[in-house]
Amino acid sequence: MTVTRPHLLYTAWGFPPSRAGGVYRAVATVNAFARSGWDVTVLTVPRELFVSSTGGDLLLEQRVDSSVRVERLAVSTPAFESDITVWPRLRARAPELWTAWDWRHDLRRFPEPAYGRFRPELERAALNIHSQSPVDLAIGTANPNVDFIPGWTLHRSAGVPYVMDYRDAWRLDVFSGRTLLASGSRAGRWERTLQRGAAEVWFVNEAIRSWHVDAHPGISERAHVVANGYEQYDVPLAVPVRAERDKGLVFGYIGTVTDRVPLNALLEGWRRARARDPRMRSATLVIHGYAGHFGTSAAVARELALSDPGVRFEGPVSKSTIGKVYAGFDALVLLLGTGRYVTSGKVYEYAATGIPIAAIHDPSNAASEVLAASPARVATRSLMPDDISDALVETAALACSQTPADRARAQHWAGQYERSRQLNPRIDALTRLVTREPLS
Amino acid sequence: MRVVVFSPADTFTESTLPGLSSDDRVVVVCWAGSTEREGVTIVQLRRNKLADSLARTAGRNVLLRTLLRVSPLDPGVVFWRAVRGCEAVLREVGEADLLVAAERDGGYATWKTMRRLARSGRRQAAVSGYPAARAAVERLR
Repeated sequence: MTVTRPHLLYTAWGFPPSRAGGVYRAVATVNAFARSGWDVTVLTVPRELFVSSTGGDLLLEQRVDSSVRVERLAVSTPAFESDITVWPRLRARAPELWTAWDWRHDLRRFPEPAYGRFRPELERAALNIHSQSPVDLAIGTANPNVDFIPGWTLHRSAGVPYVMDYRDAWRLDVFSGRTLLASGSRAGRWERTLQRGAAEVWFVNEAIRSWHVDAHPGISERAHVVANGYEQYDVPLAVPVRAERDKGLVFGYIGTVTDRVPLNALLEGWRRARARDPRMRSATLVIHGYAGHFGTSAAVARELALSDPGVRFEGPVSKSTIGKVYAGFDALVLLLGTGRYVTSGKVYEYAATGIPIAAIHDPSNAASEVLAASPARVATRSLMPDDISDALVETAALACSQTPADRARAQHWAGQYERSRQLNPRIDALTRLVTREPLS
Repeated sequence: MRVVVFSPADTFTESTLPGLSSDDRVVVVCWAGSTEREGVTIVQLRRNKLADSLARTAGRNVLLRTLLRVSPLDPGVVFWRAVRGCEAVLREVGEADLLVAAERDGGYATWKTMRRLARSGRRQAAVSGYPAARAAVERLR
């Protein structure tokens, strides 16, 4: 057992240059461990896979601590293969059928479509890394859930403790609250097995943690909430009040525009607010982000532009310079899909700016708890256009009246959600676990 | 560089492929009803009303949707047939450096076009999705 400099093996399918939402948590976690004196090895997939399928954030790669070693598995990933010249005819003609047929390679190894096939390679890679440099702790971040396999493998073969980090949930639809896979299903049995051996199981909010503890009461003591929080990059998130706000307020939304977000309801509320309030009449709504998970729905941009002259779609922005974009806003729109298990990482980032927030999501969302005490939040009563319109008008008033001192107060309040404050207690506990130091 | 985008729903915007310059040419092949815009050549194909109506009806039911997918009235197949019968598209494809399937229903037309060109001895770059197109544009430069 290494005492002075423990070795963490961190498995994450989504790692820079991936631009997926969960990647920021992965970067923050490995950086926090590296800063705390750990040697960190990341097990992930080739970078080209993201650049050519979902699109990549190349600047984010530079945010990974230089001491972190990144091992990229040379995996074959047909689901992410975007070169049509290598597609079989069935894939081009009936992609849904081809996908379902292709899942046979996954399901016989691990009950997770599109990813299960990597189990043997992940097992081999984990054992190989452990043989070269003994691993003291393994963390897997899901989804995909096959990322839990290296930790489980090293635990079985060498007694290495492992942590399961759920950014989402495997068997629970966090939007509908529906159980997707029964506890007696193959996935359910695998989940029980994996959780039984885990040193810790992390969840992003209390609602998701409670659901899992109810499903597997045995994990109660080891189940922790590690909220996403926010982190500062090159440009600070704590932006000042914009000097030009008198010339017309700028509302901003930063995030992926998926089918889950109530965009149409927002746009209808926006139109109604502009029709009745002079401050809103001169306001602009700027939407930054990808349209759809695979970044292909550029039609959304055109629809948005056509829906209202005060709405602009300006495409993705790198996380590294996101502070610069926030500095151009007077108010923020927190647009989230419905679901009491939904928090989203951007809640914390929005809060960190101190900018007034129009919370346009179902009031039962877990995000409501996060912002409940915020001095800069205005929540819609419901997703009905009139209620959204009221929230936007009220947010506009707050955006016009917010003083620099108010802004600073809101930023100070949000300090509790700084990412390191979420991670440090767990890193301390895990460091004690692997170094066998007594609890203080 | 010449890029032909098979996009039945016409999802291409000027920010889709930021790596292109004013010397490059983009041709978007889509169903009729799209709006003309600067910097892009739009080739509009005539819609098949029966196929449109069937697709709308089947869209509401998983079983019907699956049946439609394997039938000759699958929207991807219908789009390919319209492409095949359009002289303007065939001319543009003949000079293309890159074919792009923007959406699911543009995939079959892209694949078939690529295969036809391959049979005539031409290796044609063809990708699915705009992120892949952005990477391909950089690679082909």
